[in-house]
Amino acid sequence: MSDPGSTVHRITCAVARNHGRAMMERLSEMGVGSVLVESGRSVRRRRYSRFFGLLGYAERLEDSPIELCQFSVAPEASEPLVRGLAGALEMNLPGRGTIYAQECSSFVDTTVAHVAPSPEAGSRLPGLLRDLAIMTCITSMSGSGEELARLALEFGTGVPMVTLGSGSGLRDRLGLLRITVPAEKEVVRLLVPALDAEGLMRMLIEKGRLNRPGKGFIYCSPLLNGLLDTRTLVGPQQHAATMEQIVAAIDELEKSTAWRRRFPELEPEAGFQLRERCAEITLVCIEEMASRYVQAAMQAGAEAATIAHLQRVSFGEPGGGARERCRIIVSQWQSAQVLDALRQAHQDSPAQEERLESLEVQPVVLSYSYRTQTARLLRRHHVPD
Amino acid sequence: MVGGYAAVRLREQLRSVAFIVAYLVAFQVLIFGRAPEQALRVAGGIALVVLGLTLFLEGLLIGLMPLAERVGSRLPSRGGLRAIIPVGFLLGVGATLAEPAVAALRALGSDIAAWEAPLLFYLLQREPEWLIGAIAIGVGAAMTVGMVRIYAGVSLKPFILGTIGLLLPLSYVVSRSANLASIVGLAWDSGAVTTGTVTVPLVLALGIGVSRSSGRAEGTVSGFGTVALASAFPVLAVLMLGAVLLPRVPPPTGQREFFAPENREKALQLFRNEEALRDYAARHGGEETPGLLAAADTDDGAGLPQGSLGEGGTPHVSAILRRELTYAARALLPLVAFLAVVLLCLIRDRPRYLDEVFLGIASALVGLCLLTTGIGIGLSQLGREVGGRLPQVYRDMQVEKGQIVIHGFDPAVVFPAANIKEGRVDVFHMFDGESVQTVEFRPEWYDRDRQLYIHRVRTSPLTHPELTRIGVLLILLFAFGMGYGSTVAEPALKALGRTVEDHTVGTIKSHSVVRAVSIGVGFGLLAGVIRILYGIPMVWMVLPPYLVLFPLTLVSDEEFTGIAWDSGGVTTGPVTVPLVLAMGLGLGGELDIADGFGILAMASVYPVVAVLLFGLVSRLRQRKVARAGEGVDSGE
Repeated sequence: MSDPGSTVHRITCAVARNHGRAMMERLSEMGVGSVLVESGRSVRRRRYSRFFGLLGYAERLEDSPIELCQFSVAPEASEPLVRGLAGALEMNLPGRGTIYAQECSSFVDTTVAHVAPSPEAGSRLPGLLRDLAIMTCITSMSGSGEELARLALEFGTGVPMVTLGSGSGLRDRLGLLRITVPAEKEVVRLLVPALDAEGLMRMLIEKGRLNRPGKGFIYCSPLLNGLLDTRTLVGPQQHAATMEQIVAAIDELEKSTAWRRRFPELEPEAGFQLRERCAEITLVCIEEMASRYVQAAMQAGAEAATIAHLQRVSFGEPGGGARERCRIIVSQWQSAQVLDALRQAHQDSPAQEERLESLEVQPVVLSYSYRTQTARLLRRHHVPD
Repeated sequence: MVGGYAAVRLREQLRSVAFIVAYLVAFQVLIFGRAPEQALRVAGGIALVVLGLTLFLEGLLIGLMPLAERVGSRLPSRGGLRAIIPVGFLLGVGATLAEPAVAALRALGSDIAAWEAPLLFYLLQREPEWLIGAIAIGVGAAMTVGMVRIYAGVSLKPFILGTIGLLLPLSYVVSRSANLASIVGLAWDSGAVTTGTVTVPLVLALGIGVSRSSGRAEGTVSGFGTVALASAFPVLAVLMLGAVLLPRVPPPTGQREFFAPENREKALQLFRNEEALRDYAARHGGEETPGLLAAADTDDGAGLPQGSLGEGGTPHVSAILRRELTYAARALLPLVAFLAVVLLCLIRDRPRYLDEVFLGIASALVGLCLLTTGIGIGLSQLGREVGGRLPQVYRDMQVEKGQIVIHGFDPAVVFPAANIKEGRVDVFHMFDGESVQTVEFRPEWYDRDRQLYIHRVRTSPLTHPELTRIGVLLILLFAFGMGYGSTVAEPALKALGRTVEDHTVGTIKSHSVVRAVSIGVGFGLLAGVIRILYGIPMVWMVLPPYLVLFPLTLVSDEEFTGIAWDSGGVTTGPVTVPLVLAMGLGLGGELDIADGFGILAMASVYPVVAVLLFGLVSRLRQRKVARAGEGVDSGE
């Protein structure tokens, strides 16, 4: 990679829709100029009594709308901002939402907020968890996002967030037959303890049948810090504190999630191989422009891309409107090539509105997809080196 | 790959049609104890419906809606308000003119008597172009206001509540005038009818597109609501048109006065010429009318039309197919062409996948054609059979249903027959080309001068005192099931459901929206049928649900307000309207009621109530979950 780019911290904050306005007000007060907003849903288990409790309790999944907002800031401003926001929205309480920061290299970024660290006393603010990772799973069949969310909830680490996206990749190579492959994808995001990430990922792949063709792919990226929503179960409460509240309290005391590690020993060769050292390229542009960049990335060797529709909301300045965010997962050795192609496409755009708004790269520690797996197996068996 | 893709979609549509088919057949077999007539033809029709629904919905989703959404999302950035206003208006006007459902209004009003409701008659029969024009302007204005509202990010509530708040007192005031009262039902139905199966998905997609391009935090849910305005504005337009035309028409009178020579001048205002009046008198007039006319006119009235009863005969499938293809092309192509022109010429953009758009349009066109054909030969045949037979089961008394005009009647064919009740009666044999039937001869129906005999066919109705309780119950049950079942299969509703599910990221599931709306339509039809059965004035049917809607709308979320009010507009589509018409006309005809209006309006308002209630319930549930952070919650 010729240019390492500048380091920025990307902050994502997800709260229930009815707290969305409060979140925006806080962000505006803190001096963030504009944010990308995406609608999503959070999935929780809900326990309810059947027939006035006579038939015992039953459980079902309950969706509630959430609003995810995302923005990038200069590294020095990141932690005070995350803590300030988490404090203002009381995100240390289970059920209030999720917030996390990731470190990215930014190549084109017109929207990084340089927020001065707030002078507020840090003591009142909640401590952040450090050893977290984010698992992103892009499922290609409608309803399978729900299935994965259920699995994640059964595991109990945190509340999964589901958003929508549309995929392109294999689909675009089929010609008109592509209509038979649904473009709609469900993107399930889950914050997990970093130490458990691999074990959890294997479990999700196996139980969610991601090792079958056409089901989707999953990857895991490191987080700098964050707070996760542990309120996975809603229902009648029989104790002074729920299990989720106790977990959250110990998390906060320990400032870590390592104490709840569940997959102590792993057999690395069990089942399937996870791909290591990949990169997630994220680009944001004005709506309907993403396909151009996806094409450029594909030509440079990328396999697939997921496009999501977002809104840019500006606080008091012009420039809001519909945006597209495109995520491309490539292996580390490909990423320079793909990045160069994207930057070339960006620079070649004659009109300002066709240009990229941001282009960020983030390391991916583990990833898995059926296609890369089979490709690797084929290479191993048929092309001896 | 293609097989799997098609199978999933076919199965889905099969499931949505299954209810209404099973319901109708069950009614036929269990209540009437007979198998459906022409079972093979009906089954073929139902297969066509399933295939048509699949193709049409797929066409909407891959071709039409993406096209409209792209126009919506690019239009504001290219032209701002200057582009949105004319495009919205023209789209509204075009959609109305293209919509074949407007013809349904004329069908509903085909039995009205010129003397009872002169204004209604004038609007429907004399100047239907004015009516359609008024509706078109109403829809156009609604689209403009709707788009500008979304663009400017203003809440839907003041618009909806303001419009309805204006319409309700207006309807009440209008209903106090005998002549204007007759068009209240028409006005409310015209609002329901205009937002058809092609228009709704396009308008939805357009609204979503416009709302996406605006950079506000509320997300895309505020893109709903334009369909609702497009259902409300035409009501206002039609009422206003009625008020303007009021001086031109005579007040309602009795039949005798209407045709009386001294009132000829006034009566003629409703007809293009004297010929038309005479025609009308012969076809629709009561027993004394022809005599009156003959007395007034010395010259002989020539070319009296044939009676339409007993024509029967089912048209060939290919003929229906051809006719429906023309309708489908008329409903679809002008709108698509308009959007394409806007996209290519005004916005200077093109769809991302041009081939998909073309495939989608073709698929929607073929699908719509197959769907309406299938409904014509399959579903509505079944619906008619049940709907028509239902009232007859509980007959107690005779009423006039139609008439057959026999030219050159020779009194020599009349012969005496024994009457069970008393002595003898004069009868004659009547041959209609297929079979011979013996009917009673009544001297007063015979016009000796013109050698005309007008035979009045009588059947039995359900008039108020004779309504049997179980009969009423069965009719109500039938109405509810038919409303529910036909709405579940409605493609525009599915498009709405999908859009809602997509834009709430699955927190509101498509099938829950469809179910809520269908239950609403079921209750709406129930109310509509009650109105027909008991002859309740339209105002008293419209007022209560709307009065309930006011507080409901005020306390509802912005997103559910838009979705709910929009769902009122999607319910009158190609599956519901023919079935409802079959039932409304059947019942109305049996009960000797001037017009079957109001059923469609009822079918539009109750779903709004249902969806708003559903919204409130789901908000309550979400609140419970969202309150999680604050501490205890009570469970169920």
